[in-house]
Amino acid sequence: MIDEKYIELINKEIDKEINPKEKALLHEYLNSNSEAKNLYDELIASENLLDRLPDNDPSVNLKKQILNSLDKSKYSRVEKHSRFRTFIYQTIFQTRYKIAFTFTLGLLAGLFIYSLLFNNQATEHNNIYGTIGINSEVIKSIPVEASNIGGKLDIKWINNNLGLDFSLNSPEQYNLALKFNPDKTKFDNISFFGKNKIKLDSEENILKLSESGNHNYLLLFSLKAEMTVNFNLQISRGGNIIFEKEIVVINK
Amino acid sequence: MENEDNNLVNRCLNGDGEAYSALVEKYYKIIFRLARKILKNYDDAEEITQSVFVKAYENLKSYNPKYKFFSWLYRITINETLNFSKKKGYSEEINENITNDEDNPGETFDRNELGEKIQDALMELDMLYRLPVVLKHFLNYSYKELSDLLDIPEKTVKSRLFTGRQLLKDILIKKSVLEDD
Repeated sequence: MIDEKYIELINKEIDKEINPKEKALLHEYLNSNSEAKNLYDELIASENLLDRLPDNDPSVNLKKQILNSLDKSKYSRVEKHSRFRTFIYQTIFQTRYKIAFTFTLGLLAGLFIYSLLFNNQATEHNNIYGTIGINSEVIKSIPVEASNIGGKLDIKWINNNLGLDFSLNSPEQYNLALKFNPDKTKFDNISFFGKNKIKLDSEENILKLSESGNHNYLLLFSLKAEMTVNFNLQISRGGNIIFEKEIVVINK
Repeated sequence: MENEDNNLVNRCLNGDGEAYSALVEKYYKIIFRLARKILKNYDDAEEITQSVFVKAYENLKSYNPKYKFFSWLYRITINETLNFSKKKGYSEEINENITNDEDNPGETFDRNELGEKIQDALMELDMLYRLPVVLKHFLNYSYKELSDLLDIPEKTVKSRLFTGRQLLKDILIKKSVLEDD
């Protein structure tokens, strides 16, 4: 017969939870009780046998299987944040990113300052846009019909300037001469519409050009506060005048 | 080591996939060997090991760094093992398949055979006793730590340990692995 108290002490010793006083008490008891000593020896031997259990290793693929079965996207949102932090870090601290960042920042700042400084000139931009057509007003459209040449001349106000807008098509070469009084008006420039450039000879009181094919060009004049402006248009071919027109424009 | 594990956990939570890989590398053999001592079948132990690391990964945010990471893994291992055993009726199946070695009383064992006999004896123990016996012996946890890990009172831990140890001794004697004086 073994006292329950000593069975507990035997187990406590195996579990290394026994204190010295309990240990002394247990061994004194074991020396006096062979049945208890027998149980003690068997339990110790049984416990020691557990150390003989084989320590098997898992298969070589187990780690791979574990990693493959994980939901990799689970923390990917955080990963994106991390990439964003990395980008910010690189932008601030790495030289090449720093240069790019500074340049971009400077460009944005420049655009911002520009928009602030020139904000009030938006109307003028509209005016510039208008001068190339929006605010134009056709006064008169003159058809040009002659031997082997066709088209028209639109006389228009473009803001406060006068424009002579030619659209002419001639398979043969023709010469155009436009006379005007330089005391009343001043030739400003010529604009081309289309692929072919026009070669224009400009003298004090006459503009001359020689062309063939299909052309559209605008001659722009500024007026010198006169009430009327006169133009003489001549189109000739081979020394013969094939079209002539006197144009009188009343200044608005 | 704790700091290193916590650091790896934090890195994983911040999206570093390699960090969890390092944790798996560090602990998968330990967890497998523990599972193998609790479960008879090699493939079942691998299944449990895989399941433990998947569960740990999925619940990584709930890990409290106040505790050791491997203790947390052990707790998951115990839960997974218990669930697995319940699902499979594991111990009954094993008991039916274990041979009665009383038929071969004079058999001598080499080291591998002895190991298998001890493993078989252990598997004959009900899971209720097998767990505290294995955990106490191989993890060397205190009664208090076992109480926390198994979520049972300390007194119950002691009682199951003492009974389990007594039963294991009797099985080993029955199998002639241990001599009866």
